Amino acid sequence: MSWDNVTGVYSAKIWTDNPDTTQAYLFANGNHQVKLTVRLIFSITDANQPGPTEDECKAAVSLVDYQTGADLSFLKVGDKGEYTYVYQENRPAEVKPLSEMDNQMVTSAHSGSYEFDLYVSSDSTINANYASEKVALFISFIDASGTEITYNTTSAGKPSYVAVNVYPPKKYGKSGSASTPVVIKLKDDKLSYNYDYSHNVDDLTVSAWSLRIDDSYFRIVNFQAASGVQSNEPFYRHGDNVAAGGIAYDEDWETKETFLPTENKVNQGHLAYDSTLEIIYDDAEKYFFKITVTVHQEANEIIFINFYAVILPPSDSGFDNKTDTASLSAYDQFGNKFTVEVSNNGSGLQINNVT
Amino acid sequence: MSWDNVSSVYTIKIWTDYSDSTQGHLFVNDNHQLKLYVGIDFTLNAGTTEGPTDDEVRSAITLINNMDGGPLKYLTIVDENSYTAVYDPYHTQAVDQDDTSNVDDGVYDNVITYYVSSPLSVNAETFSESVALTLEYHGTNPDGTAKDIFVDTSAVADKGGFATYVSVVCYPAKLYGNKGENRTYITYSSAEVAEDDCWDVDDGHYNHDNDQFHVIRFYIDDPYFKLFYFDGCTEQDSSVVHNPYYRYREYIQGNPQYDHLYNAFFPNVECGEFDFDTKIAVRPDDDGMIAVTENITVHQQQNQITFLGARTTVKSCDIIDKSTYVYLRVYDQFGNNAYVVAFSNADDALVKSVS
Repeated sequence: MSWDNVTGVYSAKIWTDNPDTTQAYLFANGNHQVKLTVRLIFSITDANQPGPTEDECKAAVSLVDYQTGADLSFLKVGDKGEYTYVYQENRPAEVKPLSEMDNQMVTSAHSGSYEFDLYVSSDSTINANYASEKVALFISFIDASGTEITYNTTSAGKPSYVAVNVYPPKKYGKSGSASTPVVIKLKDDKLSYNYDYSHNVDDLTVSAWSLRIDDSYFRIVNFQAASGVQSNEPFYRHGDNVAAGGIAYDEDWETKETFLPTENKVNQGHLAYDSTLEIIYDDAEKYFFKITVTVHQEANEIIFINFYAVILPPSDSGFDNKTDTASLSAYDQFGNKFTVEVSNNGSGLQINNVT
Repeated sequence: MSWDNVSSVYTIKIWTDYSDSTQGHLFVNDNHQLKLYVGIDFTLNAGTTEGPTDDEVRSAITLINNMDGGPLKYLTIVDENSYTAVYDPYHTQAVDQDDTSNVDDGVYDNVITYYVSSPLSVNAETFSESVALTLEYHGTNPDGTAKDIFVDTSAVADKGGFATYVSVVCYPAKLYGNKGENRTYITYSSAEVAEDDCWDVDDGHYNHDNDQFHVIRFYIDDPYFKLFYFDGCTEQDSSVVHNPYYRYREYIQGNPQYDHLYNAFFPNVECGEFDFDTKIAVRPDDDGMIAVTENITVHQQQNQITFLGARTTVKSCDIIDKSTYVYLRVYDQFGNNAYVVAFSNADDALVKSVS
């Protein structure tokens, strides 16, 4: 295959799959990408001979600035990543008629169509002022006679473009801040559970807490916890000796423990799963017992589990408090990243900070 | 009927129920569907009056992507379900719900309807897509010559006068929350049941008086989005006697013993605007003794899920408190859904959490 059979570009178009196919909206956070679709048809000499391969075709295409025809200044092209969600919040879903297509009634021989997607992103290193940019196509190849053939869809050529409207990375904060809040809410304080009932346990309560972006549109789709935090061992434990042991007296410990279970998943629909947690009493990770709780999780939330009970401990136990916090990095559907620190304040879970 | 009488396609059009019938709006939530219409008028051979049947026409039609003329990328054709409500992002109700709307009133020989949805598995990023169609029939004329009918209404077809498409704008699933959160929220209201709407079915096993009943309604606090369905709901059935999910004893005096007995009930009746009778057994425990069995007439409106509360004063009755929760997966009219945990206090059924 080669360009030998090709005499020129019959039609070239670029669009994005938005209601207005000429407008795309991009967070310049280095993660978010806008999908641009390119469709090309070539004029050919012999309809029975093949045209270029798709790889040759892709190699002949560059994205350029629609106004100047120069290389893109504020956008970079990359492979498809994780964050290609269409951003359109609070924007009238204006449906504009398609611009005129290059479907002339020309009867000259032309190739089949070549169609492929390109992804562009932006970040502060190449776009400090979050400038928007219109993207057009530039096509260049060498024909059978050795002549370079060029074609462009800039304002000086046969126009076809996508205006990529750029926004700074979205900021999240605690409730009451100027940013969209990240919250942790009590979801259910009567989770069903099972454990070895031979243990002496009173007032057992297991609660699910929901960490999420407090918004109807923006949602968490990915997260990573700091090392060791996502575990079925507690990141927080606290014991109060509410009844001292003695002759004819049992020693009772009011025990509170908090977990970020390993079964946690976001962005996978609504899930119901069992999580088996270890109720641990010292830094040697000795545990009173294991308890299995049933959790219901929605796609857009991260689940924390809080355990409370009054426990008669084994004779060799000595309760060591552990008051670690849970630190997470999370991403919304557009790859905007925030970090959040969660702690147990003794009566429930709270967010210490969001950055 | 058949294609035998067809000479050519005279006109063809695709449209929606929207006032701007070239567009539609669809939630990507694995439930919501959009209805599309395709109308066709044929030029028939002289002296004939009947063309192909709707089924024959349907088998000749393929819905395609308008931008490139290829298969649909983000939409699939599905069988009609319950979530075909027309979503208007402007909430102006500018919707033509009449199937015999003037656009197809007598104009077309055949009007074919389709339902499309945009599954999360193919469109998690919520791309929009414009839908065109091809109509293709190959047969033989009575004189033995080939009959080839082909129409492509997409933007990439060579111009032939049949350009028609619908722009389908896709949206991420809407997220709901609890009152006080930044999401559209689900909350409740309550009202005492009128005397005419309740009567004793069975006077029970204890002396009781001052019976009070109230109806509690969960609803979406929004003029546009409505509670439409919940998993596990049932049709009204006045023969079923419901037991309380919540019991509470409030001490009045000790000798003779009088207590206030509070119960809360979930009759589990489907959403919708209708009246129904339901029976509740106001009781102090789970063991069969009943204070009173009451028939309640509920006047349920749209956007409501009904709970019931009861309070009575009972004499010499051992009351065992109970405070289980009701767990609901609720859906709005577009199939957006949320997980609701409901609890009760002495007076009302309340929303514990929405996620």
